[in-house]
Amino acid sequence: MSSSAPALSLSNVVFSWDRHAHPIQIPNLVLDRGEKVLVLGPSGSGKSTMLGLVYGTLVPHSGRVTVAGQDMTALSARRRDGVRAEHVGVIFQQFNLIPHASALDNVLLALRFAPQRRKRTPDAEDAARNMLADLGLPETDACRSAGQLSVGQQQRVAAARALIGSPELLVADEPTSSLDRANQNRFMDLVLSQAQQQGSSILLVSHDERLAKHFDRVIEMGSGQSEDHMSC
Amino acid sequence: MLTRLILSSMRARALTVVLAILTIAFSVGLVLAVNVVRDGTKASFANTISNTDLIVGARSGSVQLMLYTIFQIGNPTNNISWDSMEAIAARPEVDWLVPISLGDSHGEFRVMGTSVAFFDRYRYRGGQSIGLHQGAAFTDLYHAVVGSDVAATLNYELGQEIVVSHGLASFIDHDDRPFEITGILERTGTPLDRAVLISLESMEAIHRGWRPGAGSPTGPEPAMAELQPKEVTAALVGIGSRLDIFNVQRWINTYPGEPLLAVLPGLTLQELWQFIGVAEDALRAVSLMVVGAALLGMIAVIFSGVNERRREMAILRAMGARPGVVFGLLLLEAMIMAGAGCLIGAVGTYGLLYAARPLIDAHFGIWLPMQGPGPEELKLLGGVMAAAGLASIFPAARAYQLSLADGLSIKN
Repeated sequence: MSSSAPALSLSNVVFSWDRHAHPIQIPNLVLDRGEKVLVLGPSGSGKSTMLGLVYGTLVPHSGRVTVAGQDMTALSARRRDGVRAEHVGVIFQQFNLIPHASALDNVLLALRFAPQRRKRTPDAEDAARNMLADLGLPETDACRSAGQLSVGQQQRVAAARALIGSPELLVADEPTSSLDRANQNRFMDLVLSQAQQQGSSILLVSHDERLAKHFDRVIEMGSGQSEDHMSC
Repeated sequence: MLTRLILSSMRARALTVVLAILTIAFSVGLVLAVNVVRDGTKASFANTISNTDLIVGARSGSVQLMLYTIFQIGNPTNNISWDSMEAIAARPEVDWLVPISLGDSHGEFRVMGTSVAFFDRYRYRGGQSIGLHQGAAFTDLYHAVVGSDVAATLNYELGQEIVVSHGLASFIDHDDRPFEITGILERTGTPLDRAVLISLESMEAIHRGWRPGAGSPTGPEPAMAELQPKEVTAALVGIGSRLDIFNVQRWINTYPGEPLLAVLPGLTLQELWQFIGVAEDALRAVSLMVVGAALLGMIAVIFSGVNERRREMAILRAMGARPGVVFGLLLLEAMIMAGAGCLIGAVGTYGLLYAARPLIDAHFGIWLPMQGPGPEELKLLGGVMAAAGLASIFPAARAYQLSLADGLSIKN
């Protein structure tokens, strides 16, 4: 892994859920450091599959996926978990916060299993507090358990968790689907400026083309490449 | 932070966790209580008689001699002559000798003729002497001292007159010679609680010239000195020096005057315990079954906890937690629950039993030893912890498997 390696690169990737399904093909997708890319496509266009390949929960049949220079296809599932924790910050569609843990602990959890991210964040707790404050979560809410926060606040916690420790790549899966228009824009601005500040590349997946204005590049995924093939 | 996560996770599932801890605490407590009671029963049994070096009777089996002299079970095969008693008492090694005469009864209870020295010499529970709850020892003919069970069962009070029946389970009463209750013994937890004690002279007096149906001859009461019994059933013997016990025993067992048997009470009690030790094994089996049931309950609780925590495990994995970490978290949680359960169970049980000790003694005559957890109990607690750890492996493996299957797309 060198610092000049792209944050993410997929080349000649072919993946299929089973033999009869139409395979998903991604010939070439490269995210340079600091680049902001929006992937647009209707549901069923293979967005989730592509994310699975980036996260390392799925392995392509052929082709190569590298994250921060690391060849994910050559690693064991456990090592892929490690690479993801270290180099990819993820904002899940469902946020996936631990409801009984405090907002602060949820953010700090991202550093727990990522030594390099931890090293980049010497005073982790202060950094987490600042990150939450920068993303608009009031100071007093940092110690409340995540389950007690509003949806909007949970989203900020999820974003802070993805951004802390400056991972090379930030991946967001429909992060604004539960927000209204005004909040959507505010949230995107906050996340994007934060990512830019720390030099993280962004890969955002959405069906909402109004988000395009925030990005350097937009990639459209075609329809018809159904990942959810009919099973009956 | 992970410890904080475990604790907040357990707090979020407080009800299930508390129930699990209580399940373990109850089971551990039950087993510990069974052990304490078992030890107490065994100790009470072994403490039936102490400070007596030899029990002497007519030659029969040692257990049999022990049974009829001390436990009031079964019948003496033969009496021994007063001459033999005197010969034994005259030995220089012999410190004291208390004769015992058996054979009569009072209702369901047995009558024991003995000397006043009995009250001083008979000891139980590591040298404790028998005390009188009320009244005093017999000082004259036709005085009786009754055990605590006798007084409680028959509602006897001091000064009340009672009649001794001839033989055991008999309908022939020595009703021409009623006895006055002069004393009631304190509860001892020994067979003495079920005995009526009279003097050897009284025993002799009610039988002198007595024929069934005809009663005792009329006329003036014989003087105490004339009432020296010609034979007795057995005797408790104290030896001055422990070193001489075996010498005296051998001397008695080879006594030329008549066939005698001298036994060491402690040794014979052990022999006897082996007969009734089956009960001990049964109690032990019960404790093991209780532990087994408790562990199954614990596994069930941990297992159901895993399903509740499926989402949490998946999030941890998404954050890069290795299987070992997920495993470790569940293991630690199981350990915390088992540890808390063991602690609450042990402290609660020992505390309760300690508080209830006088009550148990008063009602059942069992003095619980209460030495805290011994090696066996510690082994048990360790076993519960180890089993909790083992029990958590299976759910932990399943948790990791589930989190893998869930991938990163966890549904709410």
